[in-house]
Amino acid sequence: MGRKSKSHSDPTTSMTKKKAKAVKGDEKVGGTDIISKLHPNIVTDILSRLPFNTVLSCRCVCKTWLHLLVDPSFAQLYHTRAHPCIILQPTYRHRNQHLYAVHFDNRNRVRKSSTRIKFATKTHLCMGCNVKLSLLDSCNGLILLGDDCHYHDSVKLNQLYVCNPITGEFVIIKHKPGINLTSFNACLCLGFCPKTQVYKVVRLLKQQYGVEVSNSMLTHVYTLGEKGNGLWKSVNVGESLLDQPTDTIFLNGIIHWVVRSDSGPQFIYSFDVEDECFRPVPPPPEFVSSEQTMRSRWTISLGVLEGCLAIGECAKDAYFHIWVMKDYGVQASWTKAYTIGFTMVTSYSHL
Amino acid sequence: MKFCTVKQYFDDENNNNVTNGIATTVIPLPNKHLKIKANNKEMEQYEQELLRNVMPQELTKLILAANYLNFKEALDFFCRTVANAIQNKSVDYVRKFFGLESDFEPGEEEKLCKEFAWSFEGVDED
Repeated sequence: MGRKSKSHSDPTTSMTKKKAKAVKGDEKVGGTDIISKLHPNIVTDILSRLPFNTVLSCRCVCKTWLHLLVDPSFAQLYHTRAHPCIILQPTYRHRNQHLYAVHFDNRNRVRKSSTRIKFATKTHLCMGCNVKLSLLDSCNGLILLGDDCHYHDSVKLNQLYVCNPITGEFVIIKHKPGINLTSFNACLCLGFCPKTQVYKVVRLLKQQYGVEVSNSMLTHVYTLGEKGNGLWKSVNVGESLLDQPTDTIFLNGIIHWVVRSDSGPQFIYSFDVEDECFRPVPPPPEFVSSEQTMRSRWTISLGVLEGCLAIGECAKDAYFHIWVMKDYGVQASWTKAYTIGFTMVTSYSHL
Repeated sequence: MKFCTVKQYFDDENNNNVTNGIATTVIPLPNKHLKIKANNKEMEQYEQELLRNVMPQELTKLILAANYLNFKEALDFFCRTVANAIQNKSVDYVRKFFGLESDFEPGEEEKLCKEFAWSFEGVDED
C-alpha cells in the first residue's frame, strides 16, 4: 500500500526541519520545545476554533501567531467555522453607544460573560460623543450602522457606516444628496454577493409626494469597494405597489422581507444582491388558502434556520410556529418544523 | 481506510513521530468511535476521561501522532480539546501551555494589547 498524502505535512521533508528546530528549542525550554513541532496549519486549526475575543488576544502571544492570525486565509477559515454571534444594541439612550456580543461556545451554550464590544464612537469612528449610532443591519460578518442626528421631531440619517465589529475597521458612506432621509421612511440593508465577494448597501424608499402615494419604490444600491466607485446607483423596480420593508433578512445573496400590506397576494419579496432584481418568494401553500385571512401579515417574521429561509408565525391559538423552506423557491417544500406554546409572544428579530 | 499510514509506521524502524505510548492511545480511538457513535453525550464523557490525565505536552504529541497517521477524526478531536482548554484564557496561560515565549519588541506587545483591550476583559483566571 502506498503512502497517501498527509493531513497537514509530509513527514519526510518536515522531519528534517523538525529536527533542526528541535535542537534550537531544546536549548531554550529545557527539552520541551513543543510548538516548533506543530505545523502552522495545525496551529491555525486550533486557533480557528476559539471565540473571537481569545483569537484577538492570541495575537499578543508571539510574532509567529500574529502573522498567522492577520493573514486573510485565517479570516476565511474562521468565518466558515465560527458559531454565529448575536450583536445587540440597548435601546436605552444613554447606553446605546455600546454594542454587546452574545457568543455561543462550542457546546452551543451562552457563555457566562457576554463579551462587550465597546463601540467606541470616540476612538474608532473619530466622532464626538453626541453622535448616536443605530445598528441597522448585519450581513456576513459586517454590520451597518447609521448615525442618528435628531432633527426637530424626526431622526435624520446623515451617514452610514459599514463596520467589522471585531477589528473595528469601517468605511463611511455618505447618502445621496437631494434625498430627505429619515429612519422612518427608508429601509436600509446590507447585502453580500457570494459569487463576486462584494458587499452592497441597499436603500429601499417609498416616496410620498404630498397626497399622492408613489407606486414605485425608490431603490438605490451602493457597492462597497473598488467596483462601486463610491456612488449610489438607482435601480428600476418595475413593480407595482411594493410596500416598503420594515425589516429584512439575508440569505445566500438575497435580501428578503415580508410584504406587510394586504393589498397584494405576495407574502414575501426578495432583492437579489447580484443582479439587483426584485422577485417574489412563494410562501407556504397553507398561507394562500382560504384560511389566509386568519393570518395577519404583522404576526409573521422571517429568519434563517440551518441555511434555509424560515417563517416565524405567532398564531392566534397562542402558539408559535416555525416554517422552513427546505428547497429554496419550491413552495411545496415549506414544512412546519416547530411549534412552541406561548402565553405571550413578542416580536423577535434575527441577526 | 483510516490507517494508510499505520503500515508505514510499523515498517519504519526509526520513528520519531509516534512513540508506543501515544500509539496505544490513538489507535483504539476509531473502534470506540464506532461503538458509541450514536450517542454524543457518551462520546463527550469518554473524551473528558481520556484527557483528564493528559498533560498539555502529551496532548501535543497526540496531535502530532494523529497527523502523522493521517487520522482526521482524532486530529479534529485533539485540536478541539486544545481549543477548549485555552479558550478565554490569558495570553500568559496560552504561552505556558504551548511552551512559547514572547518575541515582541518592548513597546509592540503593549500596543497590540491596547488595540483590543476589550478582548482581555472577563478572561478566566489562570
